[in-house]
Amino acid sequence: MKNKSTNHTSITRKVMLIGIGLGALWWIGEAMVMVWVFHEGNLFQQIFLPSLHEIWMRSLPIGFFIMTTVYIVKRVKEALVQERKLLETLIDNIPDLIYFKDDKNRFISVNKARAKFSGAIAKNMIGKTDFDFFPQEQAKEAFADDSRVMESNRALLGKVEKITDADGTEHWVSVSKIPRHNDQGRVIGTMGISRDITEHKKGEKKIARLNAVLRAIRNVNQLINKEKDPNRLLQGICDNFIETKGYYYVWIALVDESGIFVTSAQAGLGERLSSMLDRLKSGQIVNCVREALAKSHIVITDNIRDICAECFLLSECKGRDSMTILLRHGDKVYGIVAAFVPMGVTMDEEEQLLFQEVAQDIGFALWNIEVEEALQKKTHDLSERVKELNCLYGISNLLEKEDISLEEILEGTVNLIPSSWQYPEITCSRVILDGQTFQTKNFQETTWKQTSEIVVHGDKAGIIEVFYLKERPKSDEGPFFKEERSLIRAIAKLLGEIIVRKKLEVELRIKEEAIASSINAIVLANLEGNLTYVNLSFLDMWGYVNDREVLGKSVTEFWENREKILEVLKALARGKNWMGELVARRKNGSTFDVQFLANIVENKAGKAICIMVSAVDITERKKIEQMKDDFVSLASHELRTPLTSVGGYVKLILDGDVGEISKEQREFLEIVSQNTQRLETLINEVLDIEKIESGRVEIRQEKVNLSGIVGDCINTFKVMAEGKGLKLEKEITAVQMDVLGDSDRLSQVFSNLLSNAIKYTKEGRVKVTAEIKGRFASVTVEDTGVGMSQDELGSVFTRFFRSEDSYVRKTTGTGLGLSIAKATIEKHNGDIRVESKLGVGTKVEVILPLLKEAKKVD
Amino acid sequence: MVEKIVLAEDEPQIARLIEFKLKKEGYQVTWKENGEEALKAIKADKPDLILLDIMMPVMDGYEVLRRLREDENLKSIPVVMLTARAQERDVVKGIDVGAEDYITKPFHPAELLARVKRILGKSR
Repeated sequence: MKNKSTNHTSITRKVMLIGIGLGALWWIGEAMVMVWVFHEGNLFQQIFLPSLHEIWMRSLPIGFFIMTTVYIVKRVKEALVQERKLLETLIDNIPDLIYFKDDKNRFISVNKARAKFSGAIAKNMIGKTDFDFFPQEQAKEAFADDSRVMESNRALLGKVEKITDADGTEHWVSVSKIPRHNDQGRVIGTMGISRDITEHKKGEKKIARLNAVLRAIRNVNQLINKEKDPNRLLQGICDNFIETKGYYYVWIALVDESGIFVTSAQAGLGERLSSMLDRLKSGQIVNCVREALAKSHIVITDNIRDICAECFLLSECKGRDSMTILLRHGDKVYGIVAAFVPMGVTMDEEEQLLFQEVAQDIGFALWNIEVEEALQKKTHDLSERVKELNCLYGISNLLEKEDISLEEILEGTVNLIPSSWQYPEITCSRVILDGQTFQTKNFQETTWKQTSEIVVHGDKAGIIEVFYLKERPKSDEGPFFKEERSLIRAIAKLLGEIIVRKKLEVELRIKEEAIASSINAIVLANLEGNLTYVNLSFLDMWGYVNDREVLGKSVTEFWENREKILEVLKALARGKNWMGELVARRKNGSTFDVQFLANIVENKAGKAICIMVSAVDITERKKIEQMKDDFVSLASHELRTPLTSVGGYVKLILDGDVGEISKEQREFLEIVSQNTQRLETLINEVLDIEKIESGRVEIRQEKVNLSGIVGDCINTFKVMAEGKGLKLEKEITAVQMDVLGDSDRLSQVFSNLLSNAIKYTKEGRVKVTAEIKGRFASVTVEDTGVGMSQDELGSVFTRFFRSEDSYVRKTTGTGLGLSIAKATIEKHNGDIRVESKLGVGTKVEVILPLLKEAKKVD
Repeated sequence: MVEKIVLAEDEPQIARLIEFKLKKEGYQVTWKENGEEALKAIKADKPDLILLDIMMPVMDGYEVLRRLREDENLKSIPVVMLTARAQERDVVKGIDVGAEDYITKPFHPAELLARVKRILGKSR
């Protein structure tokens, strides 16, 4: 259409130009003729004559000209109509909205597009205003704009505004309004062209979004590079996404290897997320997270309800697209990041790719942090370990100082502790041991307390305490670090060991002193029998000055009888101790008697370490013993000889061997005989007890049937008891009660007991019981005699004890019987007990260990 | 036949007592004051019983007993040891070596006699 109209115009123009050209040529020819006539002849003649010809000749081109002009005008007119039609067609079909308004802002003309926009037919709009087609606000604005254009007589160009079409859809348009004038230049209305730029606007938005996303990504990348704290990093990432307005809501959830929720960060929803976080923290994995975790690629959700009908985000994120994607690096999955876009925005592939890249970057950052944290932790662990070792080493070092006391060590320890703790300037410590307290100068009890017991030999001996004077700067792991808790235990353990060691040292020193200063000669020898240690007493006794003279020599070199000491060593080699007497030889060759004890010293494991010998100089004791022996022999011989003579001759006379004697002579000689007897008993008992108690009596170690001995004794004393009118009862429940001992001595004991019982009982009975009590044999002698008071009972075993009772006084007795009995029974590893009540009776029980299981009487 | 007894006892008064009691009963008693003389008498007389005190000068009772037991001709003669009670343990050892019996001082003369009679009766 447009092309055709252009052709018409050019033809008309050509015709006109040809006409004008021809006319012009003619007039130029005429002018040249006139110039020639004036120059050649009579003006009149020249003018008139040719006039007719001239007129014709001249009217021809005029006619031609007029015809041509008429033709041209007609063609021009046709062309104009054509042009106008073209223009109208053009305006009508142009997609822009075009209108013409009069000075009252009434539509004079609108194109189709404008009419269609308002859902009307063009001609129906004529005479109406914007108020008839737009919402009030928009109409008002258009009206105002139109009026302003007219008033100012200036065009309004490219104003972007939002208008609503007949369907109610909003469109972004670019509006230009131009004033219209009449021929006099007066403004008579406006003309407007609006172009729909909605699509363009959308594109702009998208670019803005992508810009925002890119900005967010750039910021996130910057954050990744500088933020090493995972929580702050995640929060920063979320905040960035939101701040750049690229997203409506972003959240990140981290999970561990088994998919258990670890931590999260979010931005855009604030407190509204807490209900979901609570679910996550309680171990639930929400569907969207599970879904994302299960897939390695990005998950796009345009309807959240598809995934989780219960999601709290339903209301928040209705109608929004969301993306969820794994955060990972290599095979390690850290969690997910989810983002919801603003309302009305659709995520295209480009954005998804960008998002995926960000997710990769975050994954890498998390991995990086993890690696760095592990490294830092290792470094920290290492430095803590060094501190710990330093502390323990410091304490151990204290031990190196010679003669350092336990107190000094504890004092040193409390002062070493703070520097090994994380915050030395706010750390103080205290050790309490056996009631003694050691503490740092700045010591003060606070609530930030850490303690460990000091255990010595399995018992609590003390306590070690560490306090922070104030709360330590970081306290996400309780008041004390794990390392510190283990260190205090290590210190307590070390102190426990040091205490044991120190106590041992002190004990050892005491023992050493005791051994060195012992009046016994003490000798240590190695297992080969070579001396390794001798004490001062040894040197004194053997007449040496310096231990260097004897160390290394054989232990056999210091004795008169070398064979005997070799026997001793043999006994030791068999693992037996040896005790006995030896004759020692001094450095100068003189000899002396020693009581000698040799034993093998074993370590805790029972392994022989060395030989220990202790020896006491018994020369003096030997002398005294010899004197005693001599005295005993003398006494027994010299005292008995006259007694034998006196007693023997008296009895000879009494027996009538030298003739008849008178009644008085008999009576008096009986008295002599009785007293001789008494004196003899006294001498015997005194000598007996002396021998038993001095240990010079050899107690035989034979199998003895106690029941038999008791039975024999009872038989012996039957006559004596019956003579006094007493009943002698026996109750022997075991025929065989074997004990290890000396039958003569035991027989003497029971004779003594029976003799006493019968002696001190005026009337009633004496009862003897022999029975087995567990692993012991028990023999009881019970009488209904005079008995003893409590006071007397206390001294019943003292020598020459005799009851105050007048009856007892009248009887004969040395008061040695019970002493001898006790000494004898004790030599047999037994026990003797006396119960007595004055006027009621006495009960004496002898208990001896049984040799083996004894037979009971049926 | 009169039975012969050798008595070795250094205490004359006690020896007299024993000698008196035994002679009264019809025994022939040879008394010697020490072990050496007693041993000579024993070898000469070949008695039926020997009463031997332990504590004697020159040669004590043990030595006498030991030598008797070494002599084939004399070792069957019964020996009764006379001793103070303090030496009882040694006497027991003596009996283990070969003494027939022992009697402790002081003793009842009748008891001494009874023992002598018992031993001689047994050997007869």
